[in-house]
This record gives sequence, structure tokens and C-alpha cells, in this order.
Amino acid sequence: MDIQLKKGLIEICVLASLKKNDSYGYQIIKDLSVCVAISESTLYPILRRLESSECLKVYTMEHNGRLRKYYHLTVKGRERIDEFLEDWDQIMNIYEYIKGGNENE
Amino acid sequence: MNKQEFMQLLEQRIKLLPLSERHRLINFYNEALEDRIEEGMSEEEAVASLDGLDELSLNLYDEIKAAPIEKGKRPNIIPCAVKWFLIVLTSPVWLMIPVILFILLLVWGLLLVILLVFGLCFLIMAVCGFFLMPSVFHANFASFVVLVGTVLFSIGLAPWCWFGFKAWTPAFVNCCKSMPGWCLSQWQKAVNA
Repeated sequence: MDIQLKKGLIEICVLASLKKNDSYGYQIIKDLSVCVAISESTLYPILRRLESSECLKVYTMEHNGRLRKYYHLTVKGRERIDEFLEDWDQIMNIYEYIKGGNENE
Repeated sequence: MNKQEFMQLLEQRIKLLPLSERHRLINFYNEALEDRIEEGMSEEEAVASLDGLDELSLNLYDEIKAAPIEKGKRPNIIPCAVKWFLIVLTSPVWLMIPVILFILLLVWGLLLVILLVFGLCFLIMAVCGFFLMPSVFHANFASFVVLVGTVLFSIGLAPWCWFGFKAWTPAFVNCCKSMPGWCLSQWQKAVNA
């Protein structure tokens, strides 16, 4: 898959994984493994980018005597997911166009 | 490879990243390994489940796009507290520079004012002397000669004063405008050095 397209989709996946509950890095990787396999080296820059664009908020909580970073989906993050879903029809049209082009060949 | 070895290698690989970024990243990976170990993996298994370090650092530099410490740029070796101490200690020297410049500008401005005032005075003297000439001529010849001399003297000096004022004023205005900016830029250079 195209790297940029994949990155964009993973970003939305990460946001979607936080829709129900706040979560932490390893848990997000496990949650996403049902649809896409990602590693820490992929996740870290995405979390960083989402945090700087204020789609996520980070807080630290104690867990088993150590500190763990949790990620919380912000209103802006939810809006981003909604925007993606709204754009989906357009994406499908593009998909159909590309598929149709291939079939005509 | 155990956790400690992995973290040491990671630190080496990311040493070109900014310090705050390094701390964040090390905490992130430390957390990731702790979570895996907590789940029942051994340290070696946890490390093995992560990306290889080469792939990891390549991915990170590509993604974070944090410029490595610029090659050729001299690292700032003077600690901040020492730098401020030196700035305060040497303040009598560098503080004198803007003060002296300010005094020079003040003198320059004063000279321009003098030129303008003298020029106007000579002009007024010349005009008034010219109109007084007939009456003084009829009253006293000696006074008339002195008056003619004064008028000629005034006519001769007024243009010089005016030209001097006109020629030096733009340079003076430019200096007044640029001096605070120049002082500020020198100050910033000194602080950033």
C-alpha cells in the first residue's frame, strides 16, 4: 500500500481505537492488530503528530508502581474521524474510478 | 539482547535528536518493553518483538523530521548561568557602547539644530539688514557700512548653514532609526554566542 495513504489510514485507526476508552501505546498496537500490524516505530511518530495537532491529549497514570502514558481522544480528534467518514464516499468514487479503469483495459 | 542493552543501543541511535525528543522516545520504548514483560514475555522476547534498531532509527528520523544537530555548527559549550554571569560581569564594557553612541548622536543632533538656528538667524539678519539699509544710510554712514558688512556676512553664511543641515540630516535620521536595532542585534548575537 502507498506509504502516505497507509499513514493517513493508521492515524484514523489510532484515533478510532481511542474512541471508547483512553489507552496506552502497547494496547493501541494490540487493538489495531485486527486490521493492521504496526510497530512502535510506526506508532510513536503518529501519536506525536496527533498530539501536536491536538487530536490527542496525553496524561500519565501510575500502573504497577511505574508511570504509564495514556492517550485521550479530544473533540478535535473525534471531528477528524467524522471528517474521514464523511470523505469516505469520495474515496469510494475514486476507488470505483480506478477499478473501472483497470477493468476497461 | 536484554532490555538494558537495547535501551543503550537506542540511546546511541537517537543521539542526534533534540534532548526532549530523546527523553520522550526512551520513555515510550521503556514503557513498551515493560508492558510486554508484564504480559509474560522475557526481556529478550520483548526486545525481539520490537523493530530492529536500524529500521527503528531510520523510521524515526524519517517520521520525526527533527533535524540532527547541524554539522559545522559549534555546540554551545557555555552553560546558561555562566553566560548570564559573564554578561552581567562585562556589562560596564558593553553597556558603554550604546551610551557612547547615544551621546555622539546627541552631539550630532545638537550641531544640526545649531546649523538650522544659525542659518535662519543669518537669513533673517540678511533680509532685515537689506530693508534697513536706506534708513541707516540716511542716518549714519558708518553704521550703514557695518550693516552692509553684516548683511553680506549673513548672505554668505546662511546657505552654508542650510546646505550643512540638509546634507547631514538624512544620515542623522538613518543613524537614529538603525541604532536601537543594531544595538539589539549585537545584544542577541552576544546572548546566542
